[in-house]
Amino acid sequence: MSTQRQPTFSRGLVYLALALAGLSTLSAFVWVFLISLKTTTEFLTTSPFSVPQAPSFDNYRSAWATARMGYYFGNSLLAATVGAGVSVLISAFAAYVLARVVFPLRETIARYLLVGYMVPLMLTFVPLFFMMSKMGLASGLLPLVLLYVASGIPFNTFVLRGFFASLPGEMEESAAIDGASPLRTFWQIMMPLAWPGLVSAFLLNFVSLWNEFFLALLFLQKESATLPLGLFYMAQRAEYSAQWTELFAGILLASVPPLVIFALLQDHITRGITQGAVKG
Amino acid sequence: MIKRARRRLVLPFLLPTLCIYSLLIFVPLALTLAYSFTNWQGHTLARPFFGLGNYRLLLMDPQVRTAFAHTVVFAAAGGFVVFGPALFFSWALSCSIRFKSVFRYLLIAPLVLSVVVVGLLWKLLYNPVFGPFDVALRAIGLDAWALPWLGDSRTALAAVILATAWHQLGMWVLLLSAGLERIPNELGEAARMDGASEWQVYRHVTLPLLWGVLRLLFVLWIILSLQVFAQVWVMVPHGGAAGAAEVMATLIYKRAFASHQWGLACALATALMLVILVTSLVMERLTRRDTVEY
Repeated sequence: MSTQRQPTFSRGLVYLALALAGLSTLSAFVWVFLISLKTTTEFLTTSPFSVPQAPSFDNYRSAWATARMGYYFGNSLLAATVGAGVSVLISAFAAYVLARVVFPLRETIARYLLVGYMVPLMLTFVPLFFMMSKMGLASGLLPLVLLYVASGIPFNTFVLRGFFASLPGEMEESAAIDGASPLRTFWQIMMPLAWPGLVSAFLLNFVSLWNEFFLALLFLQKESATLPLGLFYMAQRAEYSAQWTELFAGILLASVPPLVIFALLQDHITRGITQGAVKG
Repeated sequence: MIKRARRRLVLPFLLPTLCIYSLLIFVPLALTLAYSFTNWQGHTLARPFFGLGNYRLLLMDPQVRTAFAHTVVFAAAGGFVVFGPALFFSWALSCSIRFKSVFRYLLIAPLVLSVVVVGLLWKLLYNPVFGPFDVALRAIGLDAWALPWLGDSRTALAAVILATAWHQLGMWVLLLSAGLERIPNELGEAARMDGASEWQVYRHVTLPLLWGVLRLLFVLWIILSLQVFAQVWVMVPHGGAAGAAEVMATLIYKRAFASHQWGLACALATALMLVILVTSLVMERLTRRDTVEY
């Protein structure tokens, strides 16, 4: 909905509010950036708003290497990519048959999978943690990725089922009549048609797993942390050792990649979010 | 024939999803309910039946009462602080303005940031020594107002709510914008033609048409906000010294891992699940209006 021919007063108000909101966000990041270029001594002795006297990227170097953010970065990349990829793939299998094949108990299974949408892992973690320890998976990236795969299933099957259901059926039928096996029809006709939906779902899963904190806190040690958890421990260290400037650099290192990716893939990611909630 | 052939896919296609989901989502859910009736202490394997004992304990526990009150405040106050600005900004972005994509990006981009990043950013902003808020307050002579916002038990929860609202704003602007986009333009134009002011158009045309989406988002916010954990854990470690920002989820976590009362933690989690379920059903009822067709 776009409104045309607005009175100048409300138009001015709109610009003012948008500019204020945008500027406050920007200035917070500029503040963090300026401090990240200072040394600890300069930070503790000068005004927090001053421009760095001898700007240096040493904090970034030490955050990346000494504070092991580079390693956490790799862990996050691995966990989020595999978690999102596997979850979307197996959800796509399930969503496809739930959407386009008629079989007994179909609606029951769909509803069963939706239960997890209401109940987050946040509230079932006690038996979950106990079960994982019993299976020898109390700590490490493997249990984390398994849980990431599982946690995406309710949302992914729900959204992708809707997506598969909305695809036209003619190509599927004619491929089958031409003698293509159901499996081949699925891979070569339906999956390519569903590609936009799969990409949106993957990106949305990826972003939320990249930022995931609770399960990482539960299943990872300090040494094998993902980026959010590593940053959390880094902040704890900063409070004791007063290495604040390194933390400022760490915060920027952790926020710039998602912000750049979002700028590039904004439409895909926002489509993923809205198709799940508003249009689902 | 074709249909029957396709039916052979059902089992292999469903199996991976069903197995992983059942094992890691559904079974723990069922076990949480079951264990809530036991007096399970984490480090033992014994889970003696305890009946409703845990539920009796948690009803009498003043810490549970505080955490529950904080959680309700977080959901309610946070709801206002998030939805008020989100309604305004989603409307502002629907106007025909210049630099729309720049404003839009600046508003919604924080949604891709981790809770940890945002929590730490705000923790630095709130810092009593070098944080801009307190430095500015001291600079204009309001030294008495320069509080340690996250450390003061009077302001800790409010400070967490404000930071969360900043982080979440973009998400809800985005969702509301998607709702606004579906509303046909002509209705507002017609009202404007008849001399309605912008506010009247919004109040009497746009808002009723948006209501269906809005109430869905209210319920979604309730579900998400009642289980808030990370924001608090990052900004006010362990919910604060005197439980100043303790919410249900941080209390459950502490009961499970600090004091090893696993049975009690399960009962707390079950109670919170029930609260979420009941609140979202009540919200759904309360917000029901005659739906407007368009």
